[in-house]
Amino acid sequence: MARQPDSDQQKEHTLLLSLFALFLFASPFTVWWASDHQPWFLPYLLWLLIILLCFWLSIRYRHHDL
Amino acid sequence: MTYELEVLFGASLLYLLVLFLVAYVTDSGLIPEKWTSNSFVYVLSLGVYATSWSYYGSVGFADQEGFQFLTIYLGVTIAFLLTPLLLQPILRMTRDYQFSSLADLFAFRFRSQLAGALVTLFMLVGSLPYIALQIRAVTSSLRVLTQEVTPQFLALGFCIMLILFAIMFGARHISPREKHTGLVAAIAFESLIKLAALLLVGLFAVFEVFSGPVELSRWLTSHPEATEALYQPMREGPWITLLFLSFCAAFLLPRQFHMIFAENRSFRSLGTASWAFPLFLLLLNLAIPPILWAGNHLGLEMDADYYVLGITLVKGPEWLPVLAFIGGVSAASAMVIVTTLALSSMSLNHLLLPASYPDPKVDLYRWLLWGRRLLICIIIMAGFGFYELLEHNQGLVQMGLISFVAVAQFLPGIIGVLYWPRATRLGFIAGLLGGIAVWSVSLLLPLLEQSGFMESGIDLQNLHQSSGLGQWPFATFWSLACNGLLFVAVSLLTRQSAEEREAALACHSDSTLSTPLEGVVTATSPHQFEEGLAQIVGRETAEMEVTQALHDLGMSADESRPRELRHLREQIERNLSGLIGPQMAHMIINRRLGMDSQAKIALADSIRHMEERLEESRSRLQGVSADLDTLRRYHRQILLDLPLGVCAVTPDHRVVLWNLALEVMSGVSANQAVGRKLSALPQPWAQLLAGFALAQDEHIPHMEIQVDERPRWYNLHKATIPEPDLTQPKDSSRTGLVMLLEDLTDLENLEAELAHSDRLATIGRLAAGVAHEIGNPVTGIASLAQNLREEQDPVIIEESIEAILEQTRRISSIVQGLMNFSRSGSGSAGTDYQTFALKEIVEDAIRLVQLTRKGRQVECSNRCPPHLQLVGNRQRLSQVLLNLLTNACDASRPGDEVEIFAFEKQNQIQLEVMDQGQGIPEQVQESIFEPFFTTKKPGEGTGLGLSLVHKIIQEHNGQIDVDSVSGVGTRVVIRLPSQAPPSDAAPHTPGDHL
Repeated sequence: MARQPDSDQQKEHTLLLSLFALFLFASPFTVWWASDHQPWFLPYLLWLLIILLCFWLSIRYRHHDL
Repeated sequence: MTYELEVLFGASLLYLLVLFLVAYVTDSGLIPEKWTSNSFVYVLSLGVYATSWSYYGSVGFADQEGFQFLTIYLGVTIAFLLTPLLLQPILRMTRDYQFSSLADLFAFRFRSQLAGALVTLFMLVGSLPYIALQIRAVTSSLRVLTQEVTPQFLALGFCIMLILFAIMFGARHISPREKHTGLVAAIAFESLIKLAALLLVGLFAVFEVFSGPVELSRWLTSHPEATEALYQPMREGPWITLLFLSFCAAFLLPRQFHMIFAENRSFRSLGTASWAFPLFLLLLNLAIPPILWAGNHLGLEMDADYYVLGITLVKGPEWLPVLAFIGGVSAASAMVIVTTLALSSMSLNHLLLPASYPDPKVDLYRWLLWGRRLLICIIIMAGFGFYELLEHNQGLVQMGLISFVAVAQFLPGIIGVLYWPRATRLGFIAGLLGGIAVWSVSLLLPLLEQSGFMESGIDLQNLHQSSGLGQWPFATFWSLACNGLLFVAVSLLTRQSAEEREAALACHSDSTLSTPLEGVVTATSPHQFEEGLAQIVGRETAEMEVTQALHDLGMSADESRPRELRHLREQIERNLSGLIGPQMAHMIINRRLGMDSQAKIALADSIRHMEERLEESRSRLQGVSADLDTLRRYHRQILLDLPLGVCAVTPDHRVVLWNLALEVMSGVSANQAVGRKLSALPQPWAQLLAGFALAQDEHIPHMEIQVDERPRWYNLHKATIPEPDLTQPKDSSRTGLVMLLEDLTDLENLEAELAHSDRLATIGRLAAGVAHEIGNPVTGIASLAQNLREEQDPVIIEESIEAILEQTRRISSIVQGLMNFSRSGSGSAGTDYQTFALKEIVEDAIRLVQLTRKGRQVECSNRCPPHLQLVGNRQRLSQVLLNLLTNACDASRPGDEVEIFAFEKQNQIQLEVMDQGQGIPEQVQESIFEPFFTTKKPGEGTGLGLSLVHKIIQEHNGQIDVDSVSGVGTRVVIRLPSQAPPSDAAPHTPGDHL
């Protein structure tokens, strides 16, 4: 199964997205937005954002599926 | 509200039966394949991740640790985000080598039975708390609903039910290798039930306990401590540790590995799962905060773990608590069934089979099936035992997290498999043992101690406090640090075996080329494979396995090429590995289907292997390698595109290269030819090429062979080439051959056509003369006949009749000569060699030429001795003479003489045609034999005559020379061998040269 040259690009974008997710959920930034006065559904919204970005990436690289 | 025990037990049983029905219907194909292999079914089946810990325990976790409960799912999200980097490479490996578990993967990669056994044991021990947790959740939820203490045997009853269903789901068929589509469908259904139940309870909480979202937000505003309680632990608790642990658990837990990889049916599903599964988890957890707040609002006095049931008991319809309960049972049973199936197959392959391999007389498949069933019982009962031992006031969360830390110990190993080919078996084992040790001391022993199961002198429970870390960060950090350090250090200090290196490259996701195949298979047919295997797995199993492998590869049962047999061997190993695990399969194959590592690999195999690997990894080559590869392709393309057929063979006459032109010429494809010996090719190529390869001559022009009953001609050339031995240093005593085939058939046919056209053209030119020549005798006959009508004198009658007959003879000879001349020369005329008198054909030629005007004006003298004989093609030699005489006459003036001499000289016959014509200028003399070269005006000649003459003389192995002086005359000298037929132009078989 020959890999296309821009599967490297897919990997890079995936890595970027993961780092973004970590930034949102596992960095000092997390402490910042997790303050007491935020609405209770904020974590869910951010989670949904990550999922949507992942969905977008998977649509974009769909032709790589074997 | 309370419920009767029997009702609830009955409901659970009913539910499990429905689940089984879903599986059964799917397996038997009643549901269309399109639905069951849908990506979303796959995604839902991954929902087995959410067990009763998620279902009940999340609310308890949220109550105590706020939003920390989300980490269990956020970590999974991050793991699935990394699908292309993490999950897809593992899936590729799993499919390529038919792994059914993580233990298979590690055993394959590190080529170590110990590694596989260790992983299995650790997985077993690590999973027991988790299984016990499920049993506890079910019994506790029963207690909440019945308000009674559950009798002891109920837990046991639940376990027995689970054993039965696990066997029915996963150990029903004789051949345990088939994918369990039924199981996947059932688990997907179960995930839906879970999701629906939880969302319903959530909606109930929002709309019934609170009277709607508006009221809920009002309640939240008036109780700010509610949201505060959610957020605060995020900032202070072991947030990152938990994220990390759930990241590992997402794909390393036995049930997760099984559903994500072993039961996967397409890469596309995994791609969909990368976003769809986190979405499922998000929806599942949406209901948790409302349920928690509803519980708090109602002031429930129970473990927050069971608020899901609690709030439905206070208000609401009677069926809701039952539904909620079923959701919990669903979650628990799915986890136990899938985990047990995964663990049982692991234990079978890595613990049971290596320990007590069955007698070959026993049916292997049956043995495997019953072994599996036994292991399922043992595992679930062990989980029950663990449940019994534990103190009942352990939180659900604690027991789950212990398993998480346990499976996290495999993360260094997985990263090593994917990205560090240098990792060694000893390093892996050392790291694993180190991690296990720290895990046991920091987590398992405290748990056992807490339950009063054992006593140790150390204050284990507070070990972590001295470091300032919480219990989980402490355990996670130290176990993984120990694991990782030992893994790296010991790997660097030890060396890999050759087998390990091969496996490492196979697994390494960035490998560009795997090692060239070493050694040659000793077997020479698939049947021999069967014989070899039968001694270990029994005759029937061996036959089935070999047949299956042949079928998988689309190979025929009488394959004999070494390279294909090696593929077969690999496929058999792969299939067996899906059955009994990679380590056992590898051992059996190595022992029984041996390879001769001393034998030099056939060059044909190496080249094809190398080319295939280069094709696969083309996009991954960079720098010099990429340039070299491009250059290689360019050269190969030149060879392939040559209009000549090219065939290269090894010293033992196996085909290495068979280009496109040769494919077209012979109708034998490269696939069929490469790897075979020349003598094994289809006829007539086998005889042609094998014979030529052995012949002394390096060139054989004009070889005629019969292909499909038609004659074809080829020029054959060959040259020796030193063999590039890819595995050993230069050994110049071995040389291969490259053979070139030039197809002359079309050329031959064209030349025959040309010769024929030339003849016809000549006849055309003669036509006028013919008409005249026939006309005269006919007139003569007419007048004689008229006279005869009135003649009475018998003597004159006699004379007249004679004269008429003489005239008819004259006409006949002209007509016969023309007919002889014009007869079409097909290729096979080349075989018509006769012996005839030279003088005769000269006479024929003179007679014909005198039909032309020029011919009549010139006197042609035949001075050939009557005894001289020629052997050759009479017709073509006549054509030669006619052409020469025509030219001589055309060049002469009226009244000149053209003489034809012949004599024998040194085994040759020399024929000379001399004229006194204008001669041929010197600058033109070199070109006269070129086709289409003429000094005549257009329309007067085609320019083909002399070139044909030249060709015909060459065919007869003769020579032709022209001696000419301008203004004086021209002498054409032809020398032909006198006796034997010309050897090279005659058709012969390759056998003549041996």
